[in-house]
Amino acid sequence: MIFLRLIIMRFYKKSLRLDIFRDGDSNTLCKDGFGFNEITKFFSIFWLILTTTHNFALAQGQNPNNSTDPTSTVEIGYRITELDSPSELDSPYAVVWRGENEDKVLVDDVCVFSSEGTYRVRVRGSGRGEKFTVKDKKNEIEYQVYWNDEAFLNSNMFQLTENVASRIFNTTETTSSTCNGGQNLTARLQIVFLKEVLMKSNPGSYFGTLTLTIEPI
Amino acid sequence: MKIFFNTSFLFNIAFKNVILAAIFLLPLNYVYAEQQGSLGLDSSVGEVEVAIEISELVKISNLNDFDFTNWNRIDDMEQSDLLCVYSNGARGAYRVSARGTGIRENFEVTDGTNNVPFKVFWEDDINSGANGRMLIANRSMRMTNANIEDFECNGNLNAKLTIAFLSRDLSGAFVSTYRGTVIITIMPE
Repeated sequence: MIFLRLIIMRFYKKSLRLDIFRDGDSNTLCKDGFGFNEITKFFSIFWLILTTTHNFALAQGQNPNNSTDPTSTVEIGYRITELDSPSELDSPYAVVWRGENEDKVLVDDVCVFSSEGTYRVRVRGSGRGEKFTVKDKKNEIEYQVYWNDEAFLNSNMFQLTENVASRIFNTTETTSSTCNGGQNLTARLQIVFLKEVLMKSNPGSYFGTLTLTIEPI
Repeated sequence: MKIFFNTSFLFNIAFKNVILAAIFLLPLNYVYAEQQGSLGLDSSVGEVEVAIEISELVKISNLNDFDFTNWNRIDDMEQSDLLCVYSNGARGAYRVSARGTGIRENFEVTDGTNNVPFKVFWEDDINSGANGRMLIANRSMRMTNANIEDFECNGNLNAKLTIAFLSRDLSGAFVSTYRGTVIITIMPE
């Protein structure tokens, strides 16, 4: 799967330079420069498309953000939201291993809504056989995945196996599928890169994806 | 009258437009890896990106001091020390350089007044039986066979440092006690 990970547009001698790349390697997909005239034309077209689409959406009956819905609803089902790329605790920076003498532990606190109050979680990695791996051009690094049905808590983490439904977890969020706009996070996803594995890994930028499915019990 | 079209120029313009259109019209979830789950009656699926960068890492350990005594006034004196070098570079590649505490960081010991030069050798294959290549102060050399799995080489030493005093240098030295330091730097290749 190809992701456009980053779009960099910068001024460069009265022109804009665009670099689209994959897996952290510059110039993987394309790289080119644009004059001001070209970019101005394109922004104009883009803005036209954007505003047209927005107006069309409103015409279809979608509420603008500042409107209120007078009806009350009961949400039934399952939902996982507030997902971010797991990172080191209290660190917004990219995850870099510099040879620290410990495992690299990444976390992400998420919202799991279940109108039943219970759920199972099934996780699939992007490696072969849905294994939990990240890759660079040549190499692969395995990691472990843990789950806790309490957010902000690293104790009692339950290890997950790729594509195997977990044991039953509980969630305190049974009424709001967004956990009240993300204010009441209910579970913690933890990624662990073992130091023993990292020591055997070549330098590079490694990426992968993790697909999480919330299922009924 | 001839009219020339620069086809590469036309292609360039078209290509730029296609790329720009592709980017601006892509759904946002192609740009940002995280995909939030939607409300579902029987399941909800979300996706996150997992990313980590591994720095270039090297480490040298198991260093010991050299202590030369009782020169027999005939032969060169040399001693070797086995070391652990870790490198996460491909095939255990690394660079080694050394400098001394003599004039211009040359390899010399001193008693505060007089200096005695010595040679430094590095061997990256400890089974070879040789002393390896002679190091020149502050000039790095490419080596291999570093341990690529464990900072402490799992206890298996993999490099040999040899220090040698030549008889001709010792024979001209005054009777005294000489000291010096060798600083070894391991760098990623």
